[in-house]
Amino acid sequence: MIEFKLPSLGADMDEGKLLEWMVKPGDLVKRGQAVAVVDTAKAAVDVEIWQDGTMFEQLVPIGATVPVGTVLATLLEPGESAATAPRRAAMPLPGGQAPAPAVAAGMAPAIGPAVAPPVAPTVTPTGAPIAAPPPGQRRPVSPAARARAQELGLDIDGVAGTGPHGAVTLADVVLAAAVRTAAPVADPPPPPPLRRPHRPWCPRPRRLRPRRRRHPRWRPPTARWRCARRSARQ
Amino acid sequence: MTTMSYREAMRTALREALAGDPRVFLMGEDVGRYGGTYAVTKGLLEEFGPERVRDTPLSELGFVGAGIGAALGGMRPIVEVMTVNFSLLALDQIVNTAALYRHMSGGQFSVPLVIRMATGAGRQIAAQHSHSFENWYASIPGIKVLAPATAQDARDMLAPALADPDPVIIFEHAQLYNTEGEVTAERQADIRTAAVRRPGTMVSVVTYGGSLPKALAAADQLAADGVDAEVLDLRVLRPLDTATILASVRKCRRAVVVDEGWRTGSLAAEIMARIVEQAFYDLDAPLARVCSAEVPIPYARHLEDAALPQPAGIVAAVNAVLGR
Repeated sequence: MIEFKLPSLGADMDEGKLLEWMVKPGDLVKRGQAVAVVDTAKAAVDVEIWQDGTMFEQLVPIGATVPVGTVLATLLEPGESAATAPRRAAMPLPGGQAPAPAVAAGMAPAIGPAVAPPVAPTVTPTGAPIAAPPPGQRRPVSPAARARAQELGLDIDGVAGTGPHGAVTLADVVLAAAVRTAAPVADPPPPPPLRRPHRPWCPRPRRLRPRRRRHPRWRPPTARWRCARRSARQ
Repeated sequence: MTTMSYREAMRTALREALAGDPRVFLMGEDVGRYGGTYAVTKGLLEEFGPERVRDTPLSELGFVGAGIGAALGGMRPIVEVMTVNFSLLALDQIVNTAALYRHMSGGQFSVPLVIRMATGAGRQIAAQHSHSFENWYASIPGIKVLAPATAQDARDMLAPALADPDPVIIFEHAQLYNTEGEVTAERQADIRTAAVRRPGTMVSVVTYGGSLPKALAAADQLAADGVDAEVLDLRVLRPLDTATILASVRKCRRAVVVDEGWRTGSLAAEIMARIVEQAFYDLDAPLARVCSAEVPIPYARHLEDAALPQPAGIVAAVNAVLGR
């Protein structure tokens, strides 16, 4: 069972409004395929899926605004059977009725108690949004804050700054560490990890190095070719 | 414990020195009959006579040189230069002679000379009487530079300065003469250490001399606003008490240096450099300084006020460092 959760699509995003499902239950989806359109405070953004699978239950109705990390839909992993897949409770409509989740056609809904998914919205350690620095500029972090974060093994990029010019100060690091210690370990941990923020203008993480492209007629060298080379040298 | 003005405290120290050691004598422009330009030596001529309280011609080069000669000859002269602005006329004697004699003579001669001079602005006596050159003297090896900022320090620092075998310069800020403070009978101050005048935890305000009352006033304003500022009085400008500065900065993790000198090449710059050299990883915010505007100190009251560090500017600098 794959959970498809609302990712954070921007540094300042803590919730999103589902505008459209681009696939139906029962559709096969491929990793990287856009499956939903979500309205952030800035723009309507195509949201892609991170795993291959079959769309199973769509839990959030069109038009609902949900926090980042909410399970939008479940998918069946390749080879997983709809009959044995656990079911989730769909999110109630604004009217107050709990609709049956949209389920893949031909997948008979099993009768049984619905399981509420744990919703773990992603928050920054201090609860404040972390603004990305303008391109070409470093985010200000005080020397004391950086040293303490290193001591504590805390990722400084995930700490919101409250100092002069938005700098991360020692107090910010101490607070973030306290929040980290106090927060119970969510199961599953809230996605996406803070180290890899998704941005609306670049929803897919870029490859660091472009994939090496071969010439279309390239073939792996054969043993015969190698022999020919050897004899040419002799 | 008695309450007295800075001027009275300094006069008390001079009187004690003259009474306690027959080698001590005063020398300078108008120190005798006129009682001193800032009335510090008033009454001492009558008390100790013209042999020990000597008026000199208007020649800083001459009478500072005479002071050096007297010190080499075994006396303990206290030379008063009217203001630091005029001491530039005696720079050759102070820098090339007094500061170097121990070195040049291979340790055979020392110059136990004390030079007192008024410094600073704020009294509408215009540019040629209002500048602060403490940082020039504080950069010269071979001399010690003191800046007592309270009545207690004014009374306490003269005796150890006289006891020191090398030249000591005492800067008395002209704005301080009328300030009052409590002075205990026993000596509190030495000529080695800085003093925390107001303990605090959030920001270290490092200052000296005439800027100390302004820094304390700013700290009071900040306290009303919930900011707990520590005020550090350097007291000794050479050698700087780096250990005390660093201890304060390491505690508060932020520092603002207040210095009436001009910003460029100021003593504040030296203090900031030492903090960054030795306590960089303890800092939680960029350092800041409040210095005089880089103009000749103006005569007009409102312009003079605008050119000098003021409590409002110190408060603003502290708030900026705290990101408030």
